[in-house]
Amino acid sequence: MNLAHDPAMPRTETSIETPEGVPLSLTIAPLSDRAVALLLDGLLLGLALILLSIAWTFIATQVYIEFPGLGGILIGLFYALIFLITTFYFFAFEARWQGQTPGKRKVGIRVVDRRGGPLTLSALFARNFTRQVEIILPLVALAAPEAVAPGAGPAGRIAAVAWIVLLGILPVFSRARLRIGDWIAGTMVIVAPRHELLDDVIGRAAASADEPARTAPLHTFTKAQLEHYGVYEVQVLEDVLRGPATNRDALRKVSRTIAKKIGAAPPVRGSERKWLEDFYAAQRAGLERDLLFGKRREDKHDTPKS
Amino acid sequence: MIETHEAPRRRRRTTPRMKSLDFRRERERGWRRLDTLLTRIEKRGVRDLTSEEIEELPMLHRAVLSSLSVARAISLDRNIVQYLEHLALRGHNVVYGVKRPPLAWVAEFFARRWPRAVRELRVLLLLVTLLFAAGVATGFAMVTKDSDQYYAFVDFELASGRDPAASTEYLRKTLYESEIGNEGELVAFSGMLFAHNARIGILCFALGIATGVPTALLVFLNGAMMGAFLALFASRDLLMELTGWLSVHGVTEILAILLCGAAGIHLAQAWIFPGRRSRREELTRAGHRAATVVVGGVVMFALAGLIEGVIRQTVTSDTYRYAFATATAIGWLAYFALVGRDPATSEVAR
Repeated sequence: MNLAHDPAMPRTETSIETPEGVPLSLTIAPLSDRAVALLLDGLLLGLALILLSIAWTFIATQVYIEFPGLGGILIGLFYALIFLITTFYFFAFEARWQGQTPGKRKVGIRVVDRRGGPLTLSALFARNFTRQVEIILPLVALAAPEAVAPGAGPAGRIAAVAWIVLLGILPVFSRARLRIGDWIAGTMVIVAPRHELLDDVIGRAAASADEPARTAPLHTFTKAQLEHYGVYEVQVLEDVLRGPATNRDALRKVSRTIAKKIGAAPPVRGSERKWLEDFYAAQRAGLERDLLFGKRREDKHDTPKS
Repeated sequence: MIETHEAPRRRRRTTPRMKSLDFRRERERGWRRLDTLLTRIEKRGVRDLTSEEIEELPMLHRAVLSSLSVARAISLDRNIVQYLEHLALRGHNVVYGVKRPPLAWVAEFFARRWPRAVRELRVLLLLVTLLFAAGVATGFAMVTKDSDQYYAFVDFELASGRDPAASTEYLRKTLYESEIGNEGELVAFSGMLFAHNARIGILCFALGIATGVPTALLVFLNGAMMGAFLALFASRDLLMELTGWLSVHGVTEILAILLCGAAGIHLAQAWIFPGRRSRREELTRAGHRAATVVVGGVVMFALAGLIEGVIRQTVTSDTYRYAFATATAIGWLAYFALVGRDPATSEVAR
């Protein structure tokens, strides 16, 4: 249930285990993404506060003209509201949007529990309350050192900058890029990209009824020709075939390289895509069959023992 | 190499017969269904789903997890594995995410979590109370000796004219008459004070990460400020009256400050002395507990603000003020001591 410390994993990958026992691999969000998300949220928050102030001034003036006695209540409410919005902005969104704020959603990152458990509200409180010390206090100190420590003067500003920098680079020293709020809350921020389910490269033309002939393989490959590549190459080829269909040059180049390697005749002009699709299908079928027998060939340098 | 029975080149089908393709054909409908439901939840919230659809979720999620395991074992189609991984993660967030209706969570919070978390911090709470008392004593002693020291402890804006230069008559007036003519001003002031105090309270918690020394200092200085205040009014023979005036909302407010202070020290303690557990684990446990205490603290600050703005303004008799303050003190103590003690659900929920 802990962070996997598999040394073979790239540094930005981690995995959590679901209660069902299936490990899910996650990509730790890079700090640049988090900085951008923070900036976006900061801008949005600032904008919201400005709009609120304008609206409040307008409404309060109207109300005050009608009922002068309510003036104090309106001002008191305004202070309370500003406090609530600034303090609970991040919390409210992360609670409502499963660990995302508008900034995080835009950038495509999200907060999750480090152990794969549920994201609790107390965790969200913990990770966002610390922002008071991580961001707000030093920002106030930067703007007005006197407000934080009387008699601080310019030294207070230097200390504030040092504080921001120190806490800003702290996540670099942890594998999962944890800021202090994450340590305390037991959370981490991961990349939450959208993966669409694409049609399988094999037989994808089968879906379009007007071209049934294309689905039958036109090119065949001998068993010996299929013994040059492994999983890695097949998946690179998958990426190539899923790329933009117009990129003919790339297809030609790739098909020639493969033909040369496996000792087959290069495809005729115009049929490179079909040739590559057939090769992909044949190669993947071969490798998957081996997989069922417990043999996995990682790449072209890998020679699994029989 | 083990010889496979048929070489693929012999086959002439519309699509090659492959396990991974059959697998996809069989399961794809379920994946798409979960994807649709999750997209709706992510866009419009769980409430967008009917109860039948919500009942479908865990089943679909488990099916996706099993598909993921199969896909990893038999399919070399990277897109499928990535898609399923991402779908499983999204499902995980929803199935195991924050899903309790907000009102139920609030009820659970006040009925169990908060008073329990406060009880767990009782030793630190006592320590912080002593620290605060030391602050009060220090402030009182120093201002009694030299009234100019008052300005060292009390913020000029918070004092709003109540300083050693003010006449006794003026000081008495601040205790019994709505502030300076306009009665709305006190309400405005209490809103400001709520924001100010709650921010200080959260700061007390967060500064726990800086070894807790700043937290202790904040608690001490808050005590000293009160001590200075008391000393000023005591020098004009208004101590009893001031205490009544202060304690109406002060009981709630000071208790909230103490709670936040204890939360901050708790964080520091877990960080510096993790004990038998790993530092990471202990810090997280303490963080959750302390944050829970502080959320309740913010609510108390809001209550204190309300009391200050509404009740103190209308109740001007010393006797009633003391009676109210005593009632709130007993109320809070009973609440923290007694609520949420049922053993049936005593497992610590994070």
